[in-house]
This record gives sequence, C-alpha cells and structure tokens, in this order.
Amino acid sequence: MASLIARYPRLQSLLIVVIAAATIILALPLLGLTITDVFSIAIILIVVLALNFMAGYAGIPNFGMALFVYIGAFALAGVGTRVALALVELTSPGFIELLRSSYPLILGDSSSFEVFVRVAGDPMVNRIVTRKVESVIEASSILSLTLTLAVFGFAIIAGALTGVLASLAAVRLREDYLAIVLLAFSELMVSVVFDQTDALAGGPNGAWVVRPWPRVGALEGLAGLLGTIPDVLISLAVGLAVLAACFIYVERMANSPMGRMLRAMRDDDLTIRVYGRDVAVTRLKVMAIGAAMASIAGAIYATVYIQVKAADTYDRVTWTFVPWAMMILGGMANNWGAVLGGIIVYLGRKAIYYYAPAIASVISPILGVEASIAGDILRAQLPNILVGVLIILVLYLRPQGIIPEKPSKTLSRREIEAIT
Amino acid sequence: MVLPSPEFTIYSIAYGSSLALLCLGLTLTYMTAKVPNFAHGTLAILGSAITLILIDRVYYQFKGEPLYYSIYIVAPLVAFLIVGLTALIQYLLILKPLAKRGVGVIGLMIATLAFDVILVNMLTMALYLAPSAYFGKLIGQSLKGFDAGISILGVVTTFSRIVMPFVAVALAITLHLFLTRTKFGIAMRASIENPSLARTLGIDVDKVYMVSWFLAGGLAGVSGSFLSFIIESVKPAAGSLVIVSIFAGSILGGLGSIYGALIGGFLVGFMEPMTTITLQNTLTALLGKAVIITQYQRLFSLLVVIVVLLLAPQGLTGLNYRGIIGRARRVGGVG
Repeated sequence: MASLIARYPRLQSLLIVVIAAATIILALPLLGLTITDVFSIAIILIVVLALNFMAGYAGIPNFGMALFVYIGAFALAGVGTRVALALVELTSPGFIELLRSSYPLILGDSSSFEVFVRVAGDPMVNRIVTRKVESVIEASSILSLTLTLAVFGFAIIAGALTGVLASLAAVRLREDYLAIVLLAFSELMVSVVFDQTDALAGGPNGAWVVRPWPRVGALEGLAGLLGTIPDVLISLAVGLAVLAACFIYVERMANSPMGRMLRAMRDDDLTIRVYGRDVAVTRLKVMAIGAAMASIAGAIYATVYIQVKAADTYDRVTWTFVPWAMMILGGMANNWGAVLGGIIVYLGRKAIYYYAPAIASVISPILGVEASIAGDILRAQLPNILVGVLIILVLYLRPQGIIPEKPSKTLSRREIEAIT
Repeated sequence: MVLPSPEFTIYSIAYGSSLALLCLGLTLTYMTAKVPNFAHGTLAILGSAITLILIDRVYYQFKGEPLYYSIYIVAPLVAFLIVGLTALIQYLLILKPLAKRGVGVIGLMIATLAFDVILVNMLTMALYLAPSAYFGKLIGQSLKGFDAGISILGVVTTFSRIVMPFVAVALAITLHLFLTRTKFGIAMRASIENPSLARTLGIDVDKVYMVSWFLAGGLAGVSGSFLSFIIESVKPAAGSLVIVSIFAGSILGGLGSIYGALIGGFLVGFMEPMTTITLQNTLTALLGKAVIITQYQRLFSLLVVIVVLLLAPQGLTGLNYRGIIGRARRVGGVG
C-alpha cells in the first residue's frame, strides 16, 4: 500500500477524497444530518474558499470574516425588507396606508419614512410587515426577481466595499497590524454598530427577512410541470451553484499569473514590488473579491435562517474562527483541502453536539449539576474548545494541512511546443 | 461643550490606569514573541472572574466589615498569580513550540486566537457549572454593588476607582526600577532588544521570555481584578471587546516600548469614556433631548487604531519629535 502511494503520489489525495466521501455518507444517517445541514456546509465552504483566497493564497490574515458574512445577511434583513416594501408600494400604491389603517395601534402615527425605518428596525412592525410584503412579492415573479437582484447586487457591492474599508488602515503595513485592524473593525461593526443600532436591522433583536427567490409558485403557471418546491431546496441549489462557481474561480485564479503573483506576495512582498506591483493595491483587490464572496454566502444563508441577529448569529467564533480551523486542517492554499477540512470540521462539531448530552450525563453527578443544564453548556462550549485544540495540534503536527499546497500548474509540454 | 462630572473623571482615570497595565503586558509579550496576543483581553477577564469567585465564595459574608477591604489586596494578588501562570502556559505550551517548528506569524496569531477561544469557552463552562454560594449563577454578574463606597472632598466614588491608579503607578515604577536597576531586568531588556547578542553574553533568553509572559499575564490579572468592579457584568465574552482597546493603546504607544504602552493605554482608556460622555452631553444640550451614545464608546478605540496606523504607524514613541518641533518652529518663523 505504502509503496503504491509512493509510486503514484496522486493516489494519496484520491484516497483521502474517497475516505472523506465515505465518512460523509456514513455520518449522514448517524448524526441525523438534514438538508439544512448540507446547506450549511455549502455556505460555510464558500466562506472557507473566500478565506483561502485571502489568507491561503494572498497571505492576508483575515480575522474579520464574520463582518463580511454579516454584510450579506444585512443585505436581506436591513436592505431587502425595505426594497421589498418600496416595490410593493410602487406597484400597488396605498399599501403603506392600508398597513397603517390595519394596525392603528402600532403604525397609526408613523410617517411613511418611519414605516420604512421600522420595517427592519422594530421587531413587531418587522414581523407583521415582512409577512404581508412577502405574500405580495410571492405572487409576482417580476417583483421577486427584482428583489433577488437588488439584494444580491447590494450584498456583492457592499461586501466588496466593506472589505476595502476594513483593511484600508493597515493595508500597507505588516500582517500582524492587518490582522489586528481586521479583527477590531469586524468585532466593533458587528457587535457594537449593527448590534446596538435598532434602526439598521433591529439591533440585538434582529430582523426577519423577506425571502427573495423568484417564486416557484409564480413560475408554476408558466412551466406547469414543477410542483411547489420548498424554499430551502432553492437556497440549497443556489448555495451549491455559488460554491461551485467560487471553487472554479479560486482554483483557476490560483493557477493564473495573478495567482502566482499572490503567492509571491504572500511569501515575500519584495518579489512583486521588484516587478512593479503595488502590494497595497493588490491586497485591496483581494479583500474586495474575498469579502464579496463571503457576503454572498451570508446573503444565501439568511434566506434559510431568516431571523438575522448581528452579534448572536454572526459571531466571531462561528464565522471567523471555525473557517480558519477548516482551512488550516485541510491545507492552506489548497482548495480541495479547504473543502475537505470544512466538511470534516463541520461533521466533527455536529458529532460533539450530538454526543454532548451523553457526556453530560456522566459528568453531571460528579459536579452536582442537572444533566440537562450540563448538556446545554457542553453543547455550546465543547465544540469550540475542541476546534481550538485542533488548530494548535494541526499547526504543531502538520502545518501544511491534510492536502498540502501544490505548485501552481504550468502549461503542458504540448502547449509550450505549440507556442515555440 | 458640557464637561463630565468629577465622579466620571475619576472613573475614567481608573479605567485608563487599568488599560495602561493591559497595554504594558501586551507590548511586553509582543516584543518577546513578535506576535500580538489575541488572548490578552480574555486574560484580563480571567482576573475579573477570579475576583467574582472570591466574592462569591468568601467575601460576600464580610460585606460592610473592615475585613472586606482586604479583597483589594487578596483578589489582585491571586489574579496576578493565576493569570500569570495561564499566560506562561500559553507561551510554553503553544507559542514557543510552534515558533520552534517554524510556524509563521499568521500561524502564531491564529494559535493565540485559538487559545483565546479555548480560554473563553472553558471559563464559560466553569462559571456555569461551578456551584455558587451566593449568586446562584456566576456568569454575567455585576460586581458594582460589591465595591466599597468612599467619599473624597465631597465626590462620591468607590474604593477600587481610587486604588486602581495608585496600583498602576506603583507597578509601573517597580517595573521601571526592575528593568533599570537589577541585573535580571537589564538582561531582560538586552534579550528583548537583541536576543542573539544576549545569548552570546550568556543570558538565558528563554528564562527572560518566560518571566516576560508571566509578568504580562500577572499584570492583566491585576488589571482585570480591578476592572471587575468597573465593567457592567463579568462575562468571558467581554474580552473580545476589551482586546480592541488594548490594541488601540498599544498601537498608540508604538508596540515597541513599555513606556509608550503605559502612556498609550492610559490615554485611550481615559479619553474613551471622557470623549463619549462629553459628546453625549454636548449633543443632548444642543438638540434639547436625551441622546445616548455610550453604547458606541468602543468605536473610539477603533478610531484610534485607524488614525494612528494611517498617520503614524510607529505610534507615539516612534515619532520624530525634534523634526516636528523644528518644522513647527520654521512654520512659525515664516508666519
């Protein structure tokens, strides 16, 4: 076996892929994985690929991923709800007036502008209005398509802008300063600015989103073939499609001249400065692209997890730290590695979550705590602790990860001969 | 402009002093390991949690008695030892072996972040699961009610706020004397400045680094112990916001000088609440209705980080003061 792997080095990675695939198939029924789990894996993998692009290839220590993911969710919760209300008001004027007369106690003395603020800012108004608006949007395929385009357009542009803004202060400095600034910016934006300002997207209470997909119900009349498809399946399909697109993009980029330049910058930025490339501009470009990718992931995520709470849902551990662990375990600057690491860590966390009550029932008599309380706490804390330990162990035992970085692909001999 | 009250100024001075100690520790570890320790905020919160546990287990029964005042000595001391050891463990078990294996700066940074996550979650678990004598549930408690009140010149404040600045100054002076007057202190400065040369001279650089990490953790513990009476509630997650202010103070101080860290930390810690409350009072007076912006207080720290890195990344200590004064003179002469 060992000699076989030595003779065919490709076999090793193939073997790992096969083992990983087998693990997943075996783990599915065991852990009770559902379609939303597959969806969550797809979303987190997009984030890991974006991180791999920024940190693995370009050497930007992005400790602020959570913010970029949240910006995408905000595109639905803070912007999408308001765009949807505006669309409905434009197509059927008097909608806001109707709302006011239907809910005199809640909306009676609010001006139209206030209604627009409160539709995402006030939990009660948010809950009522998003449902009403959603039912109108659902009925029209044009409206829902417009909403989808508006929301994802905003997510991409705002994500890219945030990426640039967050890194601007330290983009010319060493990596450690960049890491500090990205962490500080992300932490304060998510858990102070967005979480403390009700008017943006509900503050700590969060906001429910208007689900944006072009409604299958409306398409049904046209096609006549499809039955109603559950929303989560549409989200899953979009998530998988975006994941595939991101994978192909990052993979192709890594093997392009741009990718080679990024790796050179990561290893020693002097090398690219010699060739007249500006390190700061290159880093900003990478930040914009990577943050936009993470932001799209956040937007798709919010179509399933439709209550968007800034600091609660888009916390640093889940969206910054865990993706880092996935990337480091799988292998930095290797996209297959990132995907593999992502799946393993997700399943691992799920498994710990699954077995936590069993562990709790053992330790709770010793501590003198109720088993259910101990179980809840273990569920919340144990996966994070083990991910922390995992990062340190991988860095110590196998810093290159499961699938190490490969040299970038060069042209095949035939192509080179054809050129010369 | 509406100036803050004397009570609030005392609070800000106390907060600035505790941040100065935290920045001092962070800078010390940065100079030795050449990596920013993202767990430093949580180390301080560990100090707060130790104080919380001490009050819960021992001190609540002495409330109001003269004996109660011993908590201002006992809690910081215990926190100094335990948090110092925690930081030492972090260095010996994580950073040193990883650095030896040639892990780069990014890897080391994510390792400190990993330690932070481990520490936060272990602390959460401990505070939830530990049987409590007084509070019922230890996590998220406010210790403000356990701070002895005191009135000086008609200004009502609390004991910890008066003691904190003196403790900070005393520790800073002790550290200064240690670094300049003792053999080990001088060896420490040498090892930080030029490790290979220090090694050639027979200095045990490793031991020096270990002492630095222990000291940094210890100071974070003392600071966190006093902070526990100041912050709204003692919860492990608080460290993730405190760290931003610590970085702000350290970057302002230049991340390369412990005196810079003391000044930078105090300035950020003092100015952060003072600026916020002044702005809030001024806005309230201008608009004629109550404006509350204290929840955005930490944005001041972020602003400091951004402005310093954009204008003078080397911080206060790295500035060329002679050049600035000279230029100012020349400009003055022309004008």
